[in-house]
Amino acid sequence: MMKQKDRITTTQMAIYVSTHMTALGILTLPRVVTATTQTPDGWISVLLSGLVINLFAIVLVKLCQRFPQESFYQYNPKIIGKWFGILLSFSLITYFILLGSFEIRGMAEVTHLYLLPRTPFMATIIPFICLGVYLTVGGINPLVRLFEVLFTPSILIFIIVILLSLKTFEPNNIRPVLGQGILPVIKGMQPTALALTGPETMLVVFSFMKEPQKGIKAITLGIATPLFFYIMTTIFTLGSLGVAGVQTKTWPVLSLFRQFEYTGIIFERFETFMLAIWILQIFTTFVTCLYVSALGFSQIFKKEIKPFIFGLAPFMYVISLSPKNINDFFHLGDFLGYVGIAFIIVVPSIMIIIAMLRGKKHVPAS
Amino acid sequence: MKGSQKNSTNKGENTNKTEEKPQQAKSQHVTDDIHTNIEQIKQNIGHNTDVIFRSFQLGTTKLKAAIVYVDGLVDKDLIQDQILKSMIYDLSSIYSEEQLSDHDHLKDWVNNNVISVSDVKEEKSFDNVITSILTGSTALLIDNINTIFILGTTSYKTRSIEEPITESLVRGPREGFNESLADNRALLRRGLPDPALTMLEYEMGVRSKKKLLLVYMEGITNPDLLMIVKKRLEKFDLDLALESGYIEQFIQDDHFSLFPQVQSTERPDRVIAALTEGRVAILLDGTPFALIAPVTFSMMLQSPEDYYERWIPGSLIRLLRYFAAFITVFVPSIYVSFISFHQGLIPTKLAISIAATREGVPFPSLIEALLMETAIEVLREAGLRLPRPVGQTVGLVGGLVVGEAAVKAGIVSPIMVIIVAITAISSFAIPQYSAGIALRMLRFGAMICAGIWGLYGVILFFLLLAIHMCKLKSFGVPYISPAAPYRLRDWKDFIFRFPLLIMKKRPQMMRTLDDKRQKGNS
Repeated sequence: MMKQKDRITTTQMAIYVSTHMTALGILTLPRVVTATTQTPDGWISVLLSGLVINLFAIVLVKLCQRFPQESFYQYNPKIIGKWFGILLSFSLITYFILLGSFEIRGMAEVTHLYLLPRTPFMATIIPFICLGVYLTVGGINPLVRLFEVLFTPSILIFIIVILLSLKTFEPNNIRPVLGQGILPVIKGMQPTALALTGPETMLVVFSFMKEPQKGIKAITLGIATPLFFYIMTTIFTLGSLGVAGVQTKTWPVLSLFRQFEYTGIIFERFETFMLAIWILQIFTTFVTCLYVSALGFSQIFKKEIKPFIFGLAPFMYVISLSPKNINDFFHLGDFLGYVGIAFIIVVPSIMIIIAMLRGKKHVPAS
Repeated sequence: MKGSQKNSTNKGENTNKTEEKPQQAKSQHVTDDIHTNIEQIKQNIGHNTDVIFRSFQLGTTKLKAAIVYVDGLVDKDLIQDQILKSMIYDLSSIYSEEQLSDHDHLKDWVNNNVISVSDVKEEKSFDNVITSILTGSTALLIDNINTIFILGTTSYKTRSIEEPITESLVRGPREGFNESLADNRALLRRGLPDPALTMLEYEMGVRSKKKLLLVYMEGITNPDLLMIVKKRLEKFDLDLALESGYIEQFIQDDHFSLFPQVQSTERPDRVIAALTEGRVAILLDGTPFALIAPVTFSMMLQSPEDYYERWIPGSLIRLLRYFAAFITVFVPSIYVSFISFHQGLIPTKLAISIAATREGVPFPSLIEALLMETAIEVLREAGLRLPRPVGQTVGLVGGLVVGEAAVKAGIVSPIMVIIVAITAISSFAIPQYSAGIALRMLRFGAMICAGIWGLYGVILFFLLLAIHMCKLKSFGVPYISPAAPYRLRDWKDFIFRFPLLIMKKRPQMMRTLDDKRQKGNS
């Protein structure tokens, strides 16, 4: 009964990847995509880039499967040498720290706008980080258990709320499909980067998998679920707000849920529910970033993980407060999106080629 | 000083060990001479008036004998009819004095032909003899024999088997455990006459020496689980084990958690159901509350009646309980957050009517809510401890009169009274008393978070609760299983209770050795 320590099942892995992916990106996705395409075809861009990401995520899993017992931090020195390896590990850690801080800031911004307009950021961020520390010191198992618990209700609430928005849905807003050809769609793939980051955590947590051979199944399921929500959200937001309307809103998805009211029920407006599950999803992304970066430090220095978690928490707090305004914040997001994509597409591809050339592989001890 | 207090458990172990050693060194063995033996017992417990020494001679022989027992703990009829009578009258008529001089022979003879009591032991150590006497056995001393016979004559008044008060059902057996371990054990045996039902006996408490039974199903219960439970039971180290709560607090996983990690129950049917699911049960002498481990959060919201009713009402009622649990924890806090932070989220008409009733209330809604919730907790506690007729009066006076007067005086708003009442009633719908307490305590935390951060605080509190439950384990089983890790097989008995026909296997989370519930096809 105690043996399952530090091992996670395939389902848990899929849920882990998908909850990590679903975060800040979903709220701004319709805007950033439509701003580039200028056509109602944004959802096709999302679909296409999702498929591309999935393809490279499979390469990523293949790389991990060469070293099933080790995390990226542990095996990359074996492939590209000690110093380059450590350098790469630190850049991955930095990326996760920045991403985590970015998510916290985004949560604070939205909470400030919709729930607590007069509360300073400090008062919303500190308890949030404390909860993250409380969870991560428990290790990977409570982490994935929490994700599982939050997963089902999140999906249910999401589907119900999105179906309620049918009231303002206008089919003409998403027509014509491919009216201006495929070119705007291809262009629109670029800004989806931030929303589609997430599979790169697999580099680290893959080593916890109980059945590493099912890694591809896990990651495909893990990408497909958020992809489905992204496409749904994009279609429904575009359908309700129109191409022009989507671009003028900072958080178009929340605006979508503010559009409609159902009188006669206890609640007339439903963006609160959406906001609630969305805060939970941000939390999941933040804690994975915290955990994965602390794990990186602990594996590089071969020390206990707890001091690193406690050390990183205030650090992330400071970084989260550093963007001066919301535009700074969105620039950071774009940057992180590209770095994330680099860690999904470029790094694993190059690494797997080097590993194949040098014949590096995990040799089972026995 | 502080350091030594923190290490109190270690210190306790040490002192106990040092206490035991001199006792053992002091403990003398039984001698041939009856007078020294009696003196030895008298030195230990002779000053108590309820310890009875009765000396007599074996039949017409001059051989001296004596019995020692504690008045009130023994069955006197048994002693008179089966021991004294046979020793004084019957022995002499068959046996001659010469033969009695052979000591070994005499011992066997007494054991085999004279004492007509079913439970006989021979004891050589005074410590054990005295313990046995104090737990209701009768010691029989005979001159020239260097052992003491311990005769099982224990008999004391026990409560008859009654309906369990804390867990009453509309449909289901009306039997509940009582304070006698023998009766409780018999209840389990009668419900489950299966050779796999195994009971291991432990002795709890250096001084209280309570008997404890660890009950499990051989061949079903996972040996790893059994090992954990045994290890923790052996760690029990107190002089007193009054109630199974003592044991519970020693064997639970997390001492700072609000949630009960061991289930206590008065119902034999509940214990039997848990045993066949692969859990273990712990019975302690002197308490009607048995312990079941490991438990999950979903078990706290289950009642045996869910299974006795047909599955559709059973499932719906269970669903209702989950709903009640949610209301208990979150409704006051959601109300507070809406009133003090997000008035815009309430439908306009409702907002106006709430505003109208809150007019003139001098407190912010958080203080108002805390006041009322505390008041209802005090009422509940007062009603619980008083004799039943008085308790009802307290409920009536407190609930109706004070509530009505408080609203009329404008101290609280009527909507607050409604919220508090709904919460209180919902908390009573939770079948496990200890789980109900946990949820009621959490309600206050949720209200305070709502008072500080509004709805965001409620979400944070929910997260805190979820994180805590995800981290919590009960004897190696995650507390929130089967919600996580996903075990779809166990979801048949989670929020809904599926038809019994479908539940062909035991819960997966228990990792039982034999997981089929049906016969054959093995």
